[in-house]
Amino acid sequence: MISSEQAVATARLGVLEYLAANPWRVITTTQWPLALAQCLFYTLLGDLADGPGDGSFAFAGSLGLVLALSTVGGIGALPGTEKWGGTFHRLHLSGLPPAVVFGLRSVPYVVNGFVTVILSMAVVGPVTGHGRVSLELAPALPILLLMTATSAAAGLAAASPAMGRRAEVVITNGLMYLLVVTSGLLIPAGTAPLLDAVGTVLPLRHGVLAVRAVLDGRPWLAEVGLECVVGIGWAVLAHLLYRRQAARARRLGTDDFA
Amino acid sequence: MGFADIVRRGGTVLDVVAMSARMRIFELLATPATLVLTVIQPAVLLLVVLLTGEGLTPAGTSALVTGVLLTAFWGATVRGTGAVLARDRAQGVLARTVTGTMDARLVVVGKGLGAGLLCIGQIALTIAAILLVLRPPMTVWHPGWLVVGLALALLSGATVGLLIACLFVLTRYAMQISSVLIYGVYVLGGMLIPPEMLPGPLGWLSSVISLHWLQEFLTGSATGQVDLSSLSMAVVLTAGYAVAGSLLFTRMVTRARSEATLDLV
Repeated sequence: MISSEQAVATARLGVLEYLAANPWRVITTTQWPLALAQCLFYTLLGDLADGPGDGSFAFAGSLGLVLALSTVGGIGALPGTEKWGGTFHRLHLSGLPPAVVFGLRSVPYVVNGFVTVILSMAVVGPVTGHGRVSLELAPALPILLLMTATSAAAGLAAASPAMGRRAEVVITNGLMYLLVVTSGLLIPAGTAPLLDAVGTVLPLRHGVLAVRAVLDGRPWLAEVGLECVVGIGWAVLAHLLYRRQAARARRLGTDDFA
Repeated sequence: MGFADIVRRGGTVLDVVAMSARMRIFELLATPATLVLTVIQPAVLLLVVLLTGEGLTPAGTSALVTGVLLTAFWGATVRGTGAVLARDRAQGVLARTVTGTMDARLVVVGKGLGAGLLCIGQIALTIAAILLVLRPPMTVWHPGWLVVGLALALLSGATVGLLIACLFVLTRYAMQISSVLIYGVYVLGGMLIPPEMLPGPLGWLSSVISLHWLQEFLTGSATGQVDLSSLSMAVVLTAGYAVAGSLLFTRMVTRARSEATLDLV
């Protein structure tokens, strides 16, 4: 297990590590503009394809993708830093659960993901004519925060099998694009049964359905519950994957190549 | 210099370009991350526009497919070609490249052409596979003009890659900047998102992106209205990128040699 002191120290290390790799000038001049550009791109793409509604469908979905940029994309690359830094064996020797350590170090990514959503609502909404939708989305912010956590858990789980195979970018980006297609963010739920079947066990899908329900004034609690269940499932999977990975690395002596 | 010397020199130049292209193709084939931009992303973009599109005309579908192809190609160009010099520096071979007997620009352009060829091939195969599965009604490009358009895209990618490669070697945050550059041009480049959809002050930016003009040209070739003025604009811009990239590269190497500031040795 991990003590509260160790937890605080790990989270603090995560913030310092994040700011070392991404100083404020990089956050403000590349990360935030990237999130805005991605949100704008997918919102306009939804408008272009003449999807359902007046374009607000694509805008609400694009906010989910902005989250994934920081959680799945960013957190998915986090465990790999141990490998490149040659410090994975030290984490294994510490006796601390790796998934919990990575989870605590993910806090700045989660915060940044949520901040970029608010930025996108404030900037992309008015620019694309969805300023009113941005305001109507305000009550749904807690759901978006929940989606940040559930997608972070999935990003963490996806990173585990990618390590040691030089596949971090493929697997985490693959998961992100899988979310684009199957999570009902841009392609409406019910378009293709196969996409629905895959999407229902992925994060964001139930969350974005809940967000759309809030916008339409429909009941949303059940979808929030399902998003929680999916998120917990991914968190448990991440815990099991990293525990197995650590045990395997000790047994085979692979450590940084696990 | 006699004719024979010129021919020999030309042969050597082609050799360097071909060797560099081959090398980059093998490098990218050994890099699974390439598949994100050449297979996964075009597949997803195409699925999004085709599955959500309501009442798409055959010509409209062709325009979207062309847009997806060029959009994905831009992303692959930034990562595949723009990263050439930064990768060389990380591997400690940049100094050898810029101090070799042949002009280092040939190496970078050759690698850009190799990367472009591989990426366009992978993107086109991905798009063809999805079109075969979904079979949307669409107009077909004139094969000759399609080859001309794609060849120019390849050249344009290699020249703009030279320009970007010089910029990426000047910063430690090339990866972050490349992501912004990719999505910035996705939005503003006028390949998939028409400039008319952008807020007024931003609409003109696509006019300095060669891939936007190639989008116009290729879309025209699919509807039987070949727009040679768009092709000319793409040629002019490609030449502009080549001149700018060449000048910037010379400046970068001169600065590196005089100040030793770029970790060249």
